[in-house]
Amino acid sequence: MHKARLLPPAPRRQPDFSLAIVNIVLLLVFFFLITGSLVQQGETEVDLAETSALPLERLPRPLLLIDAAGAMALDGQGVRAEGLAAALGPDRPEALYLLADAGLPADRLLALTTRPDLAGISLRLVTLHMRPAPDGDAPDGGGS
Amino acid sequence: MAGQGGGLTLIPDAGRKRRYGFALTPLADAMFQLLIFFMLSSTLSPYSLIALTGGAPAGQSAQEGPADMQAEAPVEAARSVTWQLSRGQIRAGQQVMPLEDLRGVLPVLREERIEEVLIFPTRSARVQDIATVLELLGSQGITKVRLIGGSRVEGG
Repeated sequence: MHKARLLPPAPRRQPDFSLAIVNIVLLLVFFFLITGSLVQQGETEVDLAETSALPLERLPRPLLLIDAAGAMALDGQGVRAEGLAAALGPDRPEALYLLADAGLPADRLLALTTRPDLAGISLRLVTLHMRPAPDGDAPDGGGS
Repeated sequence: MAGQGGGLTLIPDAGRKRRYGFALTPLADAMFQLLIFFMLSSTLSPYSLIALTGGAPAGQSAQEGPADMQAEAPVEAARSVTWQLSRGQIRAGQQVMPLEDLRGVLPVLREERIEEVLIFPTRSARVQDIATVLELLGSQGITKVRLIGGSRVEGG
């Protein structure tokens, strides 16, 4: 039968997972902040040359994208070789990082190193770090 | 309220402190927005860097004139070798070897105390070939490498 109660039953509290969700998502945000590199549109579309013995780096800036056809974009903005020095601005960076397609003819890449208007700027090729083969073989060169 | 609901209570709730909860849902929403932004706009790919020029004079590796003319009359500098780089292979004199075999040759260069390598990329050479050669040379401690562009040699 119905029993009389002096106190109403305490409302059962639903467990609140919000704090746990926030914690996990915050950890994920930190993970992407620390391990990821922000990229512009198109910068992940080139097939980079692969290396395995070099130390890991984050994707640096300023970044000159050179696709397989030789078209260039500096930090997402299309640029021609003649206008590259002007696009870098008056505060010339110490280094310019080249995100060149692995299939780009080497001559096109080396042509940049001989440009007098890029004097004083260190040109560095960005490669994709691949895990070395178990037997220690180097990645195949050029896919010939 | 407990007192207005008609239920019988002996303890009035006037003395109870009202608990205010902290709304976490907007915080979670903002976190998700940040997470989605970073997931979409960043890449987790591991990158490496290879220096092509030192940054002092432009074209540290550059030399005047067509590369194949220079290749015909190499300067016999002490402890240096000259290679022609084609797609997937290296040519040193009359000897041609695939880049896969270059790793086995490099210790010999060290034993012979070769300090400098001149590389003439031919027209068939690709960026991948340059990266492979520079990586291998660097791993053997041969850091004085000159890349000489402008070759008219077809090669490969």
